[in-house]
Amino acid sequence: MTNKKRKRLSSEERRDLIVQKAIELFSRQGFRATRVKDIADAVGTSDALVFQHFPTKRELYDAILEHLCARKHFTEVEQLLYYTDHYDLEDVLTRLSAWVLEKTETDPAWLRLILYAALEQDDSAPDLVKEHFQRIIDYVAYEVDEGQQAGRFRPGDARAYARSFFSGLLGLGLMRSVARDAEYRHDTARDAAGMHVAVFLRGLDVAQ
Amino acid sequence: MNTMTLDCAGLNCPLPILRLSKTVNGMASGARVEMIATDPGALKDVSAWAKQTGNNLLESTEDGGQFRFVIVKA
Repeated sequence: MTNKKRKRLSSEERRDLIVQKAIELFSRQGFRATRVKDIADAVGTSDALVFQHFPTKRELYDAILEHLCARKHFTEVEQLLYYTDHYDLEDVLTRLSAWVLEKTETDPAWLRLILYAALEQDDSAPDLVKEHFQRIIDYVAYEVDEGQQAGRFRPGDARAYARSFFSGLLGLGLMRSVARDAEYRHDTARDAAGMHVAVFLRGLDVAQ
Repeated sequence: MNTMTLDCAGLNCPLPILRLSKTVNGMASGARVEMIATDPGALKDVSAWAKQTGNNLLESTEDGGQFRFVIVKA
């Protein structure tokens, strides 16, 4: 910064900066290898100030995941769910799924954090990643259960169906990120999401 | 007037609002529902939902991480 007077950050701005720098560091070197001092140095502040905002590592993880899964991404879906009398489930699930695929394919920090969470089982990161995914799984299970009660969907464990749906989606996102060939890259995230949802819903549909 | 209770404790958003919306849709005008929720997101969501749908959010309180809302159907 060339200004002689550096702009003093508000508490909220500093908190955001800590979260951003923590995401960069965690996604570059993993959760375990990143010390609070590294984050403080990257922000240009002290360990004490980082602790003041985030007294535990878990609170910092939580803020990171909140940042990556910001509610604003779901506003469009929430609008449909909350304010449409008869929303189209296929449309809602496709929008949600497209978000997951796009995020996995375009945000390296997000993908790395998921992979580090999988690799570092002794840390609290895996629980938090799971909790954040759980929100989507809970919602899908609710819709499956509603469909079963209305007699539209096949009976069975709604939560198991929802877990399978989300796990398949995440796997698809991972494969689309790994594979460079046309088999995985010929369609857009939105089209791939639509296909994934269609397969899921057709499988549940008692009329099929 | 009887108030129906909708227990959404432990449910993550968007489920509390989805259940609330479904319950209120099935109620008569002027009927009340009390909703209990624990997801902090519900605080903002219930208020926005009531505003947008025209239903009346009569009470909104928090006690030890538990939120309680009383809604009167428009």
